[in-house]
Amino acid sequence: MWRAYLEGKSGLIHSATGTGKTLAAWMGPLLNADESPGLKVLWITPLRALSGDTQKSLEFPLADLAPNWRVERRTGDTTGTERARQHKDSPQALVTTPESLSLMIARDDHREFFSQLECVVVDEWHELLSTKRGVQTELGLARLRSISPGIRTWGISATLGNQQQALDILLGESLEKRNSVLVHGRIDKEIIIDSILPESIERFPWAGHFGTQMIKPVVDAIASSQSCLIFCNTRSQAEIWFQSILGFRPDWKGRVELHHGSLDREVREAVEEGLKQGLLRAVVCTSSLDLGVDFSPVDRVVQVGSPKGVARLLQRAGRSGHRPGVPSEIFCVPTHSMELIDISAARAAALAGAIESREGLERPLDVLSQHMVTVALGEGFDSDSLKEEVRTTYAYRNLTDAEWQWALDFVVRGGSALKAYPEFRRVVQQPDGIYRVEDKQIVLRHRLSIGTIVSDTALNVQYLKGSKLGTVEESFLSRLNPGDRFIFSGKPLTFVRIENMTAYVKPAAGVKGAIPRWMGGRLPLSGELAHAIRQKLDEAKNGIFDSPEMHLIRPLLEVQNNWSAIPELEEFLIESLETGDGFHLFFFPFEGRLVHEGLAALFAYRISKLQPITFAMACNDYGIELLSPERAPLIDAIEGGLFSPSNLHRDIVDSLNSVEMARRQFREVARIAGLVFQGYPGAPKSAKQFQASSGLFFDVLKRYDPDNMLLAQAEREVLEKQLESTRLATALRRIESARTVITYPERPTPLAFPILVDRLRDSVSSESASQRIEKLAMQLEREAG
Amino acid sequence: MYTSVCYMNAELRREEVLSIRGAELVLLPDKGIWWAAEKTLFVADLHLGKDASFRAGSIAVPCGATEMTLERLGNLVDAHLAQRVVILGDLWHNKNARCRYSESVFAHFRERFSGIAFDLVIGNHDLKAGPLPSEHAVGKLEDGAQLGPFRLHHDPSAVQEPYGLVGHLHPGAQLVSRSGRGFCSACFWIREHYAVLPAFGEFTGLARIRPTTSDRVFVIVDDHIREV
Repeated sequence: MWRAYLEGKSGLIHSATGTGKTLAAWMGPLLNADESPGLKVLWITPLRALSGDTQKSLEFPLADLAPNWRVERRTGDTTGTERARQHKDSPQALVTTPESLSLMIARDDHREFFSQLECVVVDEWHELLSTKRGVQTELGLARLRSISPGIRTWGISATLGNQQQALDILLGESLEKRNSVLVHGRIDKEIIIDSILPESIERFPWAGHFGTQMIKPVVDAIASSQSCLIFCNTRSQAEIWFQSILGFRPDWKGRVELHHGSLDREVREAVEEGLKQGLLRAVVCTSSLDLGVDFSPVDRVVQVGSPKGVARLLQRAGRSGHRPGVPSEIFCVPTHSMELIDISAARAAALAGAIESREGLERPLDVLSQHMVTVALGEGFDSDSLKEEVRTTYAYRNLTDAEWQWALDFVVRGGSALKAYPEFRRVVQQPDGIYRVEDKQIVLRHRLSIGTIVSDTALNVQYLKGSKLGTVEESFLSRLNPGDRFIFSGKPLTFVRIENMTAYVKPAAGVKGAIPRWMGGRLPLSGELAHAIRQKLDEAKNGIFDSPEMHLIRPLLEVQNNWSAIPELEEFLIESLETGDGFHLFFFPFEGRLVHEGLAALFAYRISKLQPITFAMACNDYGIELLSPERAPLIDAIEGGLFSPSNLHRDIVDSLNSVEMARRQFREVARIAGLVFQGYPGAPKSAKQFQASSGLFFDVLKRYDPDNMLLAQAEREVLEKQLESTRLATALRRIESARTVITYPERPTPLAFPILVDRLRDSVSSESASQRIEKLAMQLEREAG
Repeated sequence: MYTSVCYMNAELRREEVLSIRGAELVLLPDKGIWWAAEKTLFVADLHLGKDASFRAGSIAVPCGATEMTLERLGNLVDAHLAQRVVILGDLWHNKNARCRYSESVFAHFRERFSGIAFDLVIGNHDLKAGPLPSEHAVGKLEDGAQLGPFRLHHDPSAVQEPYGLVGHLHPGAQLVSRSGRGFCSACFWIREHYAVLPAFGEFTGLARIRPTTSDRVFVIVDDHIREV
């Protein structure tokens, strides 16, 4: 890599965590270091919290290699005086975030500041690249390249399925693209994927069922390690496991901690510091600890529940033995029987190198219009030259003139020239033809709203006495009544009242209560892992049970095979079943929950076109249930093109309430495009008066300016991101070409049972649901013999 | 204390008639209250010109909401042959809302209904918007002004005996759709000592209410009105 750098090349370094990528990327610029003043290296990191650690590791080799160099930080925490000093007397290297880079571009002296720049390093590029923050970074890089042509761009990434594309997105259509390399991490990190297995399995599993019997082996795993990370897939699951572990080992209080994104920043930082110092036995966490902080003392990682994706599993495994040469080890803990297959499949996929890809985004106009205002804030822009600059990015390489013109109209006139936006002003074209922002209020507000991270409306959770605990989504709190108990931050709490965006609580005596259920808590299965699972089932069908997990689940799969069938790779299984509840159709695409939600609505819609019929729908990562009071015309529907990919787009739009979904998605678009201004503590009154909900904006735009391109973008994002329409179409093509196997089992099969249970849970009160489920499971267990 | 009668009118729009303190009030799905005996229409929180004030603040909201709000109000006046319109506060959103463009829209509307009396209980937003010119012909009512058995207020926290008609809150009730998703819908909130009207303006949001068991809540869903 150093040689490539010295030859003036750009590139992407990718490998597992803990293989010294940071140092590898840093050596090139250091070997090239000279005495001349000015900013030479810009180091972009996705997490502000990481910038401190990054600065330290970059400073480490300076004494030997470039004693006169300084490394400084530029983030949202940097004070105004500090920023001003950096512009007068700039360090040689600056660690920053995508947002702070945009803020620097919003200054009118940024051209001079970046004029000596030789290299940009984008750390954790895999985290950024398929997000709007990634697009924001691409736009920032395009600007830097236009200021100093010939700068080198280096990305650092975890292993991805599409390395070359990740590099292309980083470099865009720049000249450097022709002079770039992919660098594989030289040390192949050994990764051990192990599992903690229950002694026996229930044949009829449902989510969470292993729960209590798995606590003890997990506690043992913690006890036999120095320092252990326990990853959960959702925040509520993390809260539950944290409670259970402490319930088992009360003496660990204070040495086992909790870490997730809803907790107060100070609480999280204290936990991270404890991990770094090696003071903690274990931390129960969520994806909040997926990213790069170096916790060297951690020597064991536990994954609770299905890893849902291969890359995620490898990334988490890499959190242990975070040093070159030390193997990474991860223990997977299934929470119900079917997750045994997930674990076995994930290991097989990891061995085969079937790792998820991350795609770049295609020309989001909300990010573009934000960038236009950002540039207008600083030195201003000429329409044609900024358009050409923007088109050098990967995201906007196919930007049409009409789209550019619309975005320009949006920031200058408020919307398309065909619609009236009287009195609107934001960006103004000066007599010299340059677009600038004149109004100081607009400047202030835009600077405060630069960025693309949009969080759910969250309320602070705070004790009546004053200390803060963190934040919880408003949707959860609104269901609570004063006096209700819930568990948060590992503490039993009584809800008192909501006041000024704060939920006041007091400590509660007991721990019995609802765990907050956070939005978006359920990660969908990745396409790669889904494929590996189908492969594992295919093997099972053919009598191959080659891992401890598959051995354990073998009796359950044999029941499945006896009562119905196990689908082979080229087969698509449908089970048709009648119970007291009605007529059930179970489809098993094994494509993950998101795709299944789309398929369920699509199948229901297409069947109901043949015969008026109402369905109740349910799905999990493996399959779909359609329940109807009368028998559905399944065979007719299949012959009539139930699985046909033609008219897919139209049918999806018709079958789902996609308008309502787009209305929700518009929150993000409106915020980024500057329609909705998120308040901030101590915001002046003048800012608060412009707050309105994005749903209201959506309705008003839909009604009075329906051609507004931001509406179309929200609809596109719903299709692509929430419904994964591309994956859905691929899945449908696979299903159509597969051999359809329809079975008529007499009772719910092991594959069908968890879906049925999910539906019961959602439809009846929790108490009666668990009784019914228990009864049903016992009955099935008896019948399985 | 309430008796409630439901009937379908000629357009198959369900309305609710409440008898409060001896007066019969019709809750309209168009977010107003019609008091037939006095030929008076009550509305609250029009927030005229809010779209313009956002545009002036560099937030791109298209024209149309102010025009539509006034058009709906005009339709109600026509449909019921109202003689008087009482606005329970927040006619204008603020000073910027009263730009030349919005005021011309309002002047045009007022001309069309020059024979009808318009009275405004001054709300918090009207204070920001400043005094109205006489050619707008909008009468000013003191907060707490008496009309029959009612006291007219903007803000319910100021309500006086015996019974208040108020706005200000933009009440919304939490409902659950068939797909299980929660959503919020504008509503009339009838309490023991006062009734809260939904916000009439097109470009207004909702604030979720937390009714007690003695309250009655009438939600507006798709041009219908229904008690929940």
